[in-house]
Amino acid sequence: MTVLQAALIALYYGFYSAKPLILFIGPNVFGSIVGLFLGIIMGNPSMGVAVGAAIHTMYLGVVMYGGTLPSDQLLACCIAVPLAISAGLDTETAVALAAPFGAVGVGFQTIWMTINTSVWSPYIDKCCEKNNYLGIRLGAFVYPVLTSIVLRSPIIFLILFKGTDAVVWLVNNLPQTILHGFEIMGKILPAMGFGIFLYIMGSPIQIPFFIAGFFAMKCFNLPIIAQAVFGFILAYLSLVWGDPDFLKKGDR
Amino acid sequence: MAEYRKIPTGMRWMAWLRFQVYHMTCQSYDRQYFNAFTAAMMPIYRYLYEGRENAEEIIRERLTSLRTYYLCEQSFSGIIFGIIMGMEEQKANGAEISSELISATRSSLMGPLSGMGDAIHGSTTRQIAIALTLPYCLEGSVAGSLLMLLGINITPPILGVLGFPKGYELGSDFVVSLLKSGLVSKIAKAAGVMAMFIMGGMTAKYVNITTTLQFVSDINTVSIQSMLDNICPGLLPLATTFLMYFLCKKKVHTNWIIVGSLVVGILFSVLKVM
Repeated sequence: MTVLQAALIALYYGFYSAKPLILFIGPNVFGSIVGLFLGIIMGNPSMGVAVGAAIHTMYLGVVMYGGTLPSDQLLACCIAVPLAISAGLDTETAVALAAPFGAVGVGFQTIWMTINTSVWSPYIDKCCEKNNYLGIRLGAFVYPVLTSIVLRSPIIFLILFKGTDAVVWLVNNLPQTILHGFEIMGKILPAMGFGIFLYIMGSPIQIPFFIAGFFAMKCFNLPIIAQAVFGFILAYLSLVWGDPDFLKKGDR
Repeated sequence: MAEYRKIPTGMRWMAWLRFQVYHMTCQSYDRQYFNAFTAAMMPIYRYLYEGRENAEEIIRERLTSLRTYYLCEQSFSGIIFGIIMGMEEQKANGAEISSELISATRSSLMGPLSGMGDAIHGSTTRQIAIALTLPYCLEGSVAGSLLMLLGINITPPILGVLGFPKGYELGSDFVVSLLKSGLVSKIAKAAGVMAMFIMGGMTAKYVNITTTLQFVSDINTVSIQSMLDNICPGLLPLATTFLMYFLCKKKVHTNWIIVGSLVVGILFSVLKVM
């Protein structure tokens, strides 16, 4: 990995973690999309998307309601995708590598929000008292974003820049059973993503639909669009069947 | 009293745009997104009170009166911003609107509108867009990734762009009428069913857990996986997913699940279960 690539990714992480432009490009931490940007930086967009999407499945159910960050998918991707591309890891190992960083990123977020709470918010309060209009604007955008970059980017840069060699060494020197263990972990973690999805999104009454979808795919191996069409029909029926007279409405 | 001073359209949209960009950049623990609100509303106050003798004093009073807890989903947040902007304009032009009424309006709208925003974007359109494009992304398709980027970002800007002027013109009546029609929640429920069905299919496709265990006897060897496949295909992935679901339900933190997966992975590798 070159210095430029590591620096670009580190800056991307530091800047994007402050979540500007959230209305137009969304809380854009989804692995499938982050993987594209990282893949372009690393010169292999297709592999970037594939590895990013695999990390995405692990975090499928994670939502950020109310501005909370339960796990940092963006950091997980920013570390695992470039390392996977430069060290030539397979997808399962990359997912296993990403998982701990998703937890580490929450620490960064905590520190950053603490600085916002105890430094920049009182600063803006003071600017309001003094009618310092420029100060308000800087304090609400420029300073916190810079804080985020200063806080997050250097460490990520070091991990990326020095990390490839370490990962390659580990892959070559760890016993085969341990490496296979990581692979199994990478196979189990996507199930966690779908489990969290069920827990957060699904009310118990909707779970039969999940199971129906599972077996429909398992038995018929449908393309995803066909799956969506069936899902749409089921959704429609679930609405109209709530009305006991609905079958009679067809009678003339 | 001088003539009615109306905020020009261009200035309104500039303020809205600034609000959306700043929205989460100075998020804090105690009062969440209030910094963005202050910074984006500031030029509006400066325009409304420009030329008054005690302008500085009034602006300071207005700015500080809205320095309270504020948290809302982004697209609907713009609607609240429009409503408050309309109220501030009327107040500056001499209408009998107390500063308490303005902050009470903001505080009472943010809860229900956030809920609505999360139901529409977070749980519905975004999930369906992800479910439809993720299979292509997993195969490494750049187009799939771009489609996901597009798909998850259709509804929030549309709602924001349509809702902000409505909020400014109609005020809080708009929100009340929006909340009263149950259509939104009905559609969200149906779309939830659809998302569930698609996600079930995705689980079948992308959770690949198989066992390599075998029964070895004198006559032949029987692979447990093929036995399981005969009983019920995909039993292990489904069982694992529901195990994860129950762990989440028991409020086990995801970090522990990750650690547990590592332990189980190495254990299974040593025992040659998988």
